[in-house]
Parts: sequence; structure tokens; C-alpha cells
Amino acid sequence: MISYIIGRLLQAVPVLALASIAVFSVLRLIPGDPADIIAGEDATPAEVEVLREQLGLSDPIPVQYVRWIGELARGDLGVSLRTGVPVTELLELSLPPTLELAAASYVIALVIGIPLGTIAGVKPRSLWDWGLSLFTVGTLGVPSFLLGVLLLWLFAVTLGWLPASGRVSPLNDPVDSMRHLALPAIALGTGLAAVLARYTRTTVQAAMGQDYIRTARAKGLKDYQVVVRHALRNSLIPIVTIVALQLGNIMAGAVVIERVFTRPGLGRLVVDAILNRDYIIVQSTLIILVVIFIMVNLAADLAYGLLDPRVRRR
Amino acid sequence: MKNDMSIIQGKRTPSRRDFIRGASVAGIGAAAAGLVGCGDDDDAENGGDGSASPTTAATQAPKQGGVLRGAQTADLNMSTGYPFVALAENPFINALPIEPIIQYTDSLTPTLNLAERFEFNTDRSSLVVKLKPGLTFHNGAPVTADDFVFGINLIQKPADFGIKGTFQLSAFANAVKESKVLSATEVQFTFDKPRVNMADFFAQLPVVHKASYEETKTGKAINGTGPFVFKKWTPGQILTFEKNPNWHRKADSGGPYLDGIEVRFFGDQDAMGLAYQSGELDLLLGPPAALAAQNRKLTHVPVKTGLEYMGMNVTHPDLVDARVRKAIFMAVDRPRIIKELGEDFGKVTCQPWPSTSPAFDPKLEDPLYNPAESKKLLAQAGWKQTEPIPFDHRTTAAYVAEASLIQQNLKDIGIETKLIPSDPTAFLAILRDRKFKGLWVTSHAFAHMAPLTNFQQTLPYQQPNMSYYESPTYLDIRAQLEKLDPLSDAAKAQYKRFNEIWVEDPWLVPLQPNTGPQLVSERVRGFGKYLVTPGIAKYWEVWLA
Repeated sequence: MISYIIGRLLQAVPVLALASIAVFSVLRLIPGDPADIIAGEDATPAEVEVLREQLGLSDPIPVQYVRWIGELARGDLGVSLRTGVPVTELLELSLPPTLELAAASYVIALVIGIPLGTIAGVKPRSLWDWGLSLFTVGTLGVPSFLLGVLLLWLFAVTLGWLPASGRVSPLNDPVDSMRHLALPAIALGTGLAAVLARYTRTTVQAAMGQDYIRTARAKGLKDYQVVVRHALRNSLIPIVTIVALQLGNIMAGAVVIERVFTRPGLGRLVVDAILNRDYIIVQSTLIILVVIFIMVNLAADLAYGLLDPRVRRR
Repeated sequence: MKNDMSIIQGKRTPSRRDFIRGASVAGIGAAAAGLVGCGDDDDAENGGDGSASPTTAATQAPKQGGVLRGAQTADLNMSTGYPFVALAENPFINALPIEPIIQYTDSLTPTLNLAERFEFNTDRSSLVVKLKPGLTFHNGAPVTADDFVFGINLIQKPADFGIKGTFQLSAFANAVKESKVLSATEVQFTFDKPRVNMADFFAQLPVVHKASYEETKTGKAINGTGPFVFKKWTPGQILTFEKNPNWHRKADSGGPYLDGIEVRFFGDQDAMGLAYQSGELDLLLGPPAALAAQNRKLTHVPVKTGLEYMGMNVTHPDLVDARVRKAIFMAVDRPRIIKELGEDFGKVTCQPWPSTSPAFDPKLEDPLYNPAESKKLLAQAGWKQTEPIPFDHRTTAAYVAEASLIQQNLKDIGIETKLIPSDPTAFLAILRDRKFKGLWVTSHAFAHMAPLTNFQQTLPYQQPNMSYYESPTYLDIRAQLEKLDPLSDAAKAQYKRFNEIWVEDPWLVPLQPNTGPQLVSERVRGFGKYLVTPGIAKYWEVWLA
């Protein structure tokens, strides 16, 4: 198992290298640079050039890239070009809100999606199944930001039940933290719930027609035991894959949802940094996100072994 | 040169005329134009749009206590020269913890603030400033002449202080050739030549504690003397202030009344609006226009400090003829811009000057929208067009809408344009490098100060400017004004000349005032009064019902 993990981690190195080149290059393709913004409109072209020099932006692109990678390798994520605040400090502030949001969204998706999909898979063409279809069409058809605005308008503005913006640390006030998290997590998690429900329905329905299900029934197991222990468990591997792959969507959705709900997370940090051409923040944050994505997918691979003994034996 | 207002000392309050004479400024904060403003006689008690506001019309005595919950849409920028450069990102920290030594309070009337003496020599090549005794910064350190001079030194040589960036005030700071500290609270400045403008420079130069400036650069501390004490900045999240119980003007102002102010950062304007509607906020600088329109009585519009304008590159073959440019000037439907794009906030105007300016001309408050006259002018000029005129604008929604509307206006009189959208950062670079080929829309500030200051300080009026406009008349007006008392009859004659060429030989087309609405909640009282310079709201007069 350890050699497997090491092997997977080594595979991540070229992925990270390619991701770093892509992030670095794409940023340089956007017109304007940090010196333009910091200098403002009153600066002379000569002053902007001096500033560019000071920021290290006059060096050839490959030199800038190697310098950045060297700093990253030493664990130095750099300093915001615009504000001078260390990126690690910004990440300390921004990562927890995003992880909270992602985790809460996953919880909502799992709690809604898997039971709903399982029931629909066990009872195809039933009212449950039609209900699931309605739910998936309704939620997948509404973008998360629009759902977020609707939830905001209803629960924060009209009813006043939940806060419209901000974030409270669960360490300071767990209840208030949940109140602040509820609406953005629902907005972000509902779409994922629909996706999971559809996959679960399909895989569970397929499993229900298998011989081992008939055998389980013949053994006299109760319906829920047949479904949960046999049909659902055998359906989980593709669902775990989907859950892991959806992390990218969750993070992309978080960018928008964090702006709608004014949560001070990574999404907002990156968007603001892009608008300000704060290369260092964008580069370092995106690399951190790539690392997270790789780790989650590794965790999903490891989970296969837990779910299916045949995988462990291989 | 006359010098009858060269001394501002003790309790003497110079006349507005006196003060203007000494004022011609380096302006702060072109970018902050939408967030700052200046008061005038009409607007001191009401919203700048003239609408009576219950928040200021109330006659109850101010109540102490409470925390004002404000919002802004960008995070702070502390490292590029704050507080000596006024950035749009910093509206609250520009207003609450710091102060200059003198201020223009209402209607260009000057008051001594941190200074008890402010005295030019006869030819205005030198100035002596004496600080009030007993002043302390928020951290308890005494305010000294060294702290005062520190700001000038930093603007002159920012790199020496680890600052990357440029300063709007650098031209004025560089005019200071010597800063001689006479005592702990007294300093004598010598300028490179006689300068009548320097009062405005000092009216915009805040004083902060030199020894703790490194903490200011990183956002850990701001030790000024203002009515509110900076407590904490959490990047991207929140900024908090507490009342300064020892504020040096507490006795005469009665304020500050609030216990504190907290400011949250919203990445999205609509999200800010929803938070306001849910009762989480008391003050929005730059609210969504529709929300402001729904809450008209709670909305204030600071008096304009300049214009949103369309620039014209007079070297473009189609724009060389002044008659064509005047036709364009008269083809823009300014009332429609105000009504449709600005939710009917602000007043239609055809001049940069607010009513407090000595250059203000009531006739230029008319829309001057006359497409029929434009067509006649084009016919006189023998208008023929081979290809559309390039028309640059930012990709932000407001500018896209404005450019599209103007494009239609120009099409109506037979002028074709081609819209060229640019990302705001790219647009900034084009603007700074003066590379607009035909037309463009943007804004400027500083017209609320001495007109000469506006000419010297703002890009569209400087020499060279982005329009490459250099008529002998305009250059002569500028040269004359540099020698004249800004409020003298002779100067006013020059303003009249300027206002004539402004319409007859234009290089800028006024679109609308540059200041946007500010929205408060029902419980806010006392908001809506502004200092002229520095252009901030009088937060110390604000209280909560």
C-alpha cells in the first residue's frame, strides 16, 4: 500500500509541473501587469518601468518562472505584489472558509443525493423516481449563483432567518458559524446532490438486477439489508470517483458563491488577485488547489480498497 | 503678488477668497473620485442631489454610542504609499484615523486643524507651520514637526521608505526644497520658487506617526490623530475602528458620537446590496444604482469633484476640425445618461466645476444637447467619413452602457464609431501612455479646487494631455492663471475664456458628474456633510438613532 501511495505521489509531480506552467503562462497572457495597477494613471512610463524592475517583471518569463518555482520548492509562497501581505497569511485566512464551504456542500450532497438516488434506483419508474427526475432537472438547470441569490433573497432579505453575508469561525461560535454557512452550502451542494443522485440511481438500479442480489434475497435478508449492504455498497466505487472528480466543480462554484455570500475564501482571493494582476497570489493559490485536488483523488483511490476487497488484493 | 491671506493663525478664519488665493493643489485621489466629495452651501445639510434626507433633517440631539456598519467593494491597499496617496480602495482609512494640518471645511472655507499657525512669506516662497501644542497620536506619542515632515520626505523619495508606487502629490512635494525644523512643533519650508498653490498640498497631506510607519505599511497599525482609532484589519474580511475619546476637536465638534465603525469588504456590489436589504449594513459607498433609487431619501450624492467625460484625440483626422468636435459635444444626450444609466442621481452638467468653483458658469449647467445644431456644424465642416472613429472604453458594465449610448447619439448625427473594449488594467495603461486613437470615456477629479490645480493636476488638462490638445488660447489661459489670484477678477476673466473654448474648441465632452451615490440605513443620522478637502464625509457628526 505504501509503495502504491508513493507511486501515486510521484505521478503527481509532472501534473503539478504542467499545472504550474499553465497557470504561470495564462496569467501572462492577460493584458496589463501589476506594475500598471500599482503605478496608477499618474505615473510616467519611466516610473512604471522602474516599478516593473522592482517587482521583477522585467526579467524574461522563464527566469520569472524558475524563480517562482524555486521559492515554492523552499516553501515560500511569496508576497502579494499589490498589498505586500505574505500569501501564507492570506491563505491562513482564506483556506478555512473555503474548506468549510466545500465540506458542508459535500455533506449536503451526500445526505440528499445518495438516499434519494438509492430509493429511485430501487424503485424505478415510481413516484420517487419521478421526484428525483424533477429534482435533478430543477437543480441542475439553475446555476448555483442564481440559486444562491434566490436563497439570499428569501431567507436573509425577506424572512430574515439567516445572515446574508460573512463568515464566523466555528471555533469562535459554532452555531453562528453554521448559520452563516447554511445558505452558501445549500446553494453549492444542491447541484452536486443532483449529480450524485443520478449516478446512484443508475448504479443501484443496475446492481439490483444482479445475481448476488437475488442470492441475498434468497438468504432471507430484509429489503434494507439487501439494498444497503449489497446493492449500495457495490455501487459506491463509481460514486466515490464522481465525488472526487466533483471537487473541481465545487471549487469553481465556490468562487462564485463566495462572492454572492461575501465569504472571505479562496475563490474571492483568487478573483480579486486576477483583477489586480497579483500574479503571486493567483499562482500560489492555484497550485495549492491543484495539490488539494490531487490529494482528494488519491484519497478516492485508497477508498476503493476499503469498499472493494478485490481492489485490496490487486 | 498680493499677500493678504498669507497668514492663517490662531482663531482668525480667513475668508474663502483669502484661502483660495493660497490654494492650487496637487489633488488627491482621482481614483477615489466616486467615493469622496466636497460640500457646498446647499449640500452641507442635504444629499448632494438636493433631496432632503431624513437622516440629516432630523432635529434630535445626537446620541452617543453604537457601531456603524459600513461596506466597501475592494480590500485595502496599504503598501503603495498610504496615507500619502489616496486610493479608491481606502475610503474609510483615508477618512477616519488621519488628518492634515489645515482643512477646507465648508464652501472652501479654510480652518486650522493640527496647525495653530500657517504663514507664508511675502512672495510665497516659504512657509512656517506651527503645530497645536499637546497633540498626540492614537498610540500616545506626541505629534512633532518631524512626523509632519516625514510625509513630505516619503513622497519625495518613496524607495527610501520601501514604497513601490507613485504619488499624485509628488510634484508639490518636490517643490519643497528645504524643511527646516525650528522646534519640536514648528517647521519652515522653503520652495523651489514662489508658489501660490502650496496651501492645497498641505490641506491634503496627512500627518502620521513616523516611528510606527513600518506597521502602517503592513496594515498592522495606523497612528494618526483622527476622530476614530484604527483597531484591526483582517485582509478581505473586516476593518474596525473605535472612537478616539481624546480627539483634539472633541470640544468644538461634540463628536465623535459613534463608539466605532466596522467595515466589511464585499467582492460583489449586488451582494453588498442584499446585505444592506437584510439589515446587516448601515452605510454603502457605491451601492447598486437600483437599490439607491429604491431608497432615494436615504441616499446622498456628494457634490461633484470632476467629470465623467469623453476624450477626443484632436490629432485624429476626423477630429481635427473644432466644428466636428463641437458637434460631438452637442450630440451627447446628457439627460438620458443621468436618467437611464445613473438612476436619475446627480445633475446634468456641461462643466467640470462645482458651484463652489470660481470658474462655475450657470449657463453650462444646461444640457447643451442639440443634434440639429450638431448636424449643421458637421455640414459646415464638410463632414465625410471613410472609416469609423475608434472609441475606447473599459469592459466594466457602466462604461459599456455609457459608450453604447454615446455611440448611438453620434450615429444619429452621422458619425460612425467603433467600440474598443479593454480590460480596466489594459485601459489604464493606454490612458497613462496617452495612446487613445479617437474617442474614449473615463473620469477625472480635482475640479472642486482652484481651477489652475485642475489644469495642472489632472491628465486630460495637463500638457501634454491624452487629447494632444495645445491651443494657444488654452496655453495662454494656463500661463495667466499661474500668476493670478484664483479669485481675482482677472482670474475670473481667464475662467470665462476657458469656458468659451471648452464649448467652441472642445477636446473633452462632459457626460455626467463623477461622484456616485452613498446609501445609509434608516437608523443613521448626521450623514451627508462633507469636507471640501480632504474630500471626506464628516463621520464625527454621524450618530445612530
